[in-house]
Amino acid sequence: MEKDFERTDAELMKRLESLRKTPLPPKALDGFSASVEARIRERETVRTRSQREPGTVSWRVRSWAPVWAPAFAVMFLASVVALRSGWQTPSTLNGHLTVPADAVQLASNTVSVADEVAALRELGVWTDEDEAAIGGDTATLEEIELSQNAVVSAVV
Amino acid sequence: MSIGTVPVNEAELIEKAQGGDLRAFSLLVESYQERAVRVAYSILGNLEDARDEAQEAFVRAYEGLGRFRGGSRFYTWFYRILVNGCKDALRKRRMRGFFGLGTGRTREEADPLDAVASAEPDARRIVADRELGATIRLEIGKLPLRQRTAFTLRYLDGRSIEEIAETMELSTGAVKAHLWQAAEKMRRALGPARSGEV
Repeated sequence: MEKDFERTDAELMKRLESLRKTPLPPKALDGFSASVEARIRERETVRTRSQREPGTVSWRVRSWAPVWAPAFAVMFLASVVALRSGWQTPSTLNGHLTVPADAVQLASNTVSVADEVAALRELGVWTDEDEAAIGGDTATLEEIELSQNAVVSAVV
Repeated sequence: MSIGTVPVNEAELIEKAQGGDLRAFSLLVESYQERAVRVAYSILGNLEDARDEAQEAFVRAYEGLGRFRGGSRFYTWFYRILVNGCKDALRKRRMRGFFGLGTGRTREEADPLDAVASAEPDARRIVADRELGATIRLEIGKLPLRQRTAFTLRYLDGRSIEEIAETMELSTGAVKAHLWQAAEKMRRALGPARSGEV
């Protein structure tokens, strides 16, 4: 086995000798070392700048990270599917304006103003002066009472 | 080591470069650039990528020169950086290919070495060399990465088994096994040596 390897190795070394000796085309090496020097200087400049100003962020052009490719692909496909299917926001679904459930819940929590005033009057907190100050009786207040319907219309 | 006709002491250049002498490092670059591009080209199969990766390897070598203690030869240490960079580049390329993003760069159909005006006066020999080069590069592209790297370093760069083992961080036995497998495939692809070849 060892002898076989040595024989094959020697044979290929001889056979490919001409390829080893063939020079590369000059254009392949044009400005090679100058380009290496330029890269080194550029990186040194960036490093020196970031060391001098420790608070500053140095931006480097990063190579494309292939790990992001699937994530971007999924996002892209999702947006294409959404756009092609004519997806609409929930508030305008089927052409009707819908009201968020929280708004309806808040509206239903309102109590009658007259009941409120009656309770205050029993406690002696609500006086005739207060009645006069609002310029009307509790019946007037009922008119401006917030009802579930009124809130819903206002939201719509 | 010599650059042009001027003999250069590599250890001296390394010492100067470690002290921040960029000109000294450039002389090191000039002495290894051709081999570096050739090795990178054999692994990556694209000259533009090979140039880019070889330059990047030199930059990384300069940045890590402080860690080079001279326990191994500079080129062995540098080749390790280069080969690892090429492996990363291939992985990235495969990932991009997998997700269909494409790199725009593929293994070149025409070998850039074809454009070289050979010093060899025998036209038949030139044609034979070109054919051989094209077949070799095509077959190298089919080899698994470790076999490809070992084959390139051994037969296209002329490194010893020990140097390849150090570069690839493998035992000499493992290197021989990779070379043997690669060589067998290559021999089958090349067929028997013709009279134009050695």
